[in-house]
Amino acid sequence: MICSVTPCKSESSWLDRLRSSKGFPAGSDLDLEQFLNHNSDHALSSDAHVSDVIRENNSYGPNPNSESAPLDTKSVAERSKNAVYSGFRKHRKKEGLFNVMSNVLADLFNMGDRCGIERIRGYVEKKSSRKQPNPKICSLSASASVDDGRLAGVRKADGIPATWPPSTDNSVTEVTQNGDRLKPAKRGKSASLTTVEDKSQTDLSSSCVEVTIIDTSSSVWKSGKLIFRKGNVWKVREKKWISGNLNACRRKRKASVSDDIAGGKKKRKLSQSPLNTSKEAGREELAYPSNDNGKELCKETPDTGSRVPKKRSLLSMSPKKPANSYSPVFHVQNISTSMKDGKKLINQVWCSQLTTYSIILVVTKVSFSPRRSAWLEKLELQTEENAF
Amino acid sequence: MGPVRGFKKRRKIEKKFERNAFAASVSSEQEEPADWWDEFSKRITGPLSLSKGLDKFESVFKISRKTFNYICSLVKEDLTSKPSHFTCTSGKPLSINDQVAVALRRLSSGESLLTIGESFGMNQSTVSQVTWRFVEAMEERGLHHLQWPATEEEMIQIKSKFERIRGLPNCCGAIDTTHIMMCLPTVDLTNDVWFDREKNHSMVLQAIVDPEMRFRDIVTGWPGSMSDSLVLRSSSFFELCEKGKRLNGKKIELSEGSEVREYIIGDAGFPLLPWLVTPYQEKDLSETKAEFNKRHFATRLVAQRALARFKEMWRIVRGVMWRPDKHKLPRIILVCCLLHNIVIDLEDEVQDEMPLSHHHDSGYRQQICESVDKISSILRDNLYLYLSGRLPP
Repeated sequence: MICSVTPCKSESSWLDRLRSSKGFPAGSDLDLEQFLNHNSDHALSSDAHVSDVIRENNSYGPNPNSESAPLDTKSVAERSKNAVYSGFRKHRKKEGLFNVMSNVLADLFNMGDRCGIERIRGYVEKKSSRKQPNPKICSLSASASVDDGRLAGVRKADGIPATWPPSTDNSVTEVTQNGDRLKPAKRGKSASLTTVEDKSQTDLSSSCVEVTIIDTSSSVWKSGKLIFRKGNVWKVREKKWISGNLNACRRKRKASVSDDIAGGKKKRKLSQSPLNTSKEAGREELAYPSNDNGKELCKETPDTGSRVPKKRSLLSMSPKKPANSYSPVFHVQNISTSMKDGKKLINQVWCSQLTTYSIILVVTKVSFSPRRSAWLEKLELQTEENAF
Repeated sequence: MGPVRGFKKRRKIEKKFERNAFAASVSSEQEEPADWWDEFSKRITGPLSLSKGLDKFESVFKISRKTFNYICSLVKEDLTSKPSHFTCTSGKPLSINDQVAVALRRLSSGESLLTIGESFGMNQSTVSQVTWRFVEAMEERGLHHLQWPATEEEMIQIKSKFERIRGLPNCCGAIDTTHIMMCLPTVDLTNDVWFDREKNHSMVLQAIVDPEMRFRDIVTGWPGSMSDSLVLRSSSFFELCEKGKRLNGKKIELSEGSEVREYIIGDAGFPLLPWLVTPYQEKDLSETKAEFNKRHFATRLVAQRALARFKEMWRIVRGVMWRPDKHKLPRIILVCCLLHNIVIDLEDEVQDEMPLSHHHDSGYRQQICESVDKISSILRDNLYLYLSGRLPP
């Protein structure tokens, strides 16, 4: 019972506050329905839009359109009836009132131009949505990212189409990793719809795939690559052997675009970002720099091994560095840590490598309990079983 | 005080390992004097058991005993360096020859792990592990069988053999591409990239071969949706050629003022480049140009035949592979290419009995690449004029 009273109170107080802030009398006799009914004909379209916006805000039912139709017809009929009785003075006063009201609503919602209102209204009637049909764009990051996306347009080098994806925060080309599937990022959806106009591009499927390339003419005849593909646009990047998980795709792409556009500013930006923990930033640093060529190759693959995040300092030999430079065998030596840490460590290496290629953990000296040793041996066997 | 937890298990594993290592050393000592094949062939069961006997060795492994022994000697060190506990279902440890035999059978027949396991009397996981270990060992030890001609003499021989086919002078190789088909789940959208233009999931293998059908350069691992042209442009071979570090040998003077540099030949799916000659693609070809195209086709047929034989001999890459590990598949392809070259290098007689087909990519239509530049056209025109006898002396 108390609950049923409270909304009424709050609603009236909200309305009162709104009226008083705009200089309206705060009486209960001036409700919205009455206000709408006393409008002149020329304000019909604006009026209709106001009702639409309000309906948008209040419609939580499965089919709000069924409610809206009678309301509109009723309002139109009453409008024509009231037009006969309304005097000129009264009419002007009401019109001014309406203009003030529509200004208030325009502050709250982006209504677009008058010509567009009919179109928007038609759209709303066809397909209802709980969201605002024409939301205001938050200009904090979207505008910058839109520019990023445009700057990173399609270019070709060496005949290889390069530059997809622009990888902006609010672009439709951004992909997030969800299990094995790549799908457009939700958070940038509304902005992307307003910024990306090339529909033919948005319809094309996009993907980010890790591949192992054998090239016998190359000095490193076996290499991991990341392929970003959108339609017929390909982008190939060198892949670090250790970053076996596909989340790297997104991070690397972000880093590369930022490098293209903002140069060295990226790292500072990342470290300042509240979302990035120190661990995250550490990983980000491992992302490859990219150049402007379509095929981006990193020449510092062997050196990156020294830039391992602190967590990996447990190993006397970095897991990033294979025992043999071309061999996928990793030596885990001198693990002198607690069992918990050791397990976590091995899990980390295991998980990061599992998707890339098989590893064989050669445990040369393990200082924890025999049980742990047996567990590692089991792990080794499982890894080998996974092969071929 | 009770025993330390896991101690018994550890002791058990250690004992097992010692026993296996001892047995392996004993068996390796024993296998040398006696003929391994006599003993091994007795263990074969199922349909394969019908082809017992040394003369039937080739029918099981598709290579001669000589080649088999050579391959064993290549990988022996790697296979023995790591302790293994591979055994038959009877508990007998697998010798080096056994392991090579299992791996070769798997690669050459393309049969399932289960079938091979049943034939040779071992667990299918053993077949898998043994094969993969063999692949790793071959990668390390056999790579010298697949390389671009290192010496000028070698290159001269190659050029002269190409010229003997249909008269193309200064030709250093023939390039072609084939697809290794895979069966991947279509539900997974990340697999779309492997979906090629013929609606198959596939991996690309690009090979440059010499006149003896030996692979001289390969690139593999790229998804099937990539065009032949793009695979070429992504390769190190392309990069080296563009930088002038490959195909930069002696030019041949065809007539006064007309010379031809070193080049390779490829079909219409490849771009016409200063070092890559493709056939004329005009609709109404003149008789002489059509003749040039015929010569061109006949010469590059070696590449098609090499790939056809490669797939025929190493059937693991011929059929549709069931959900393979896409990071391991390129390495398997590489090892099959190495084995292909070893057979040629050792002049194995089995290759003489193989049918000469040039259909390696059935169901795949000819790709067309229309990329042409002026310098490349000059090279092709010079060749065409030379072959048609129109060049002034």
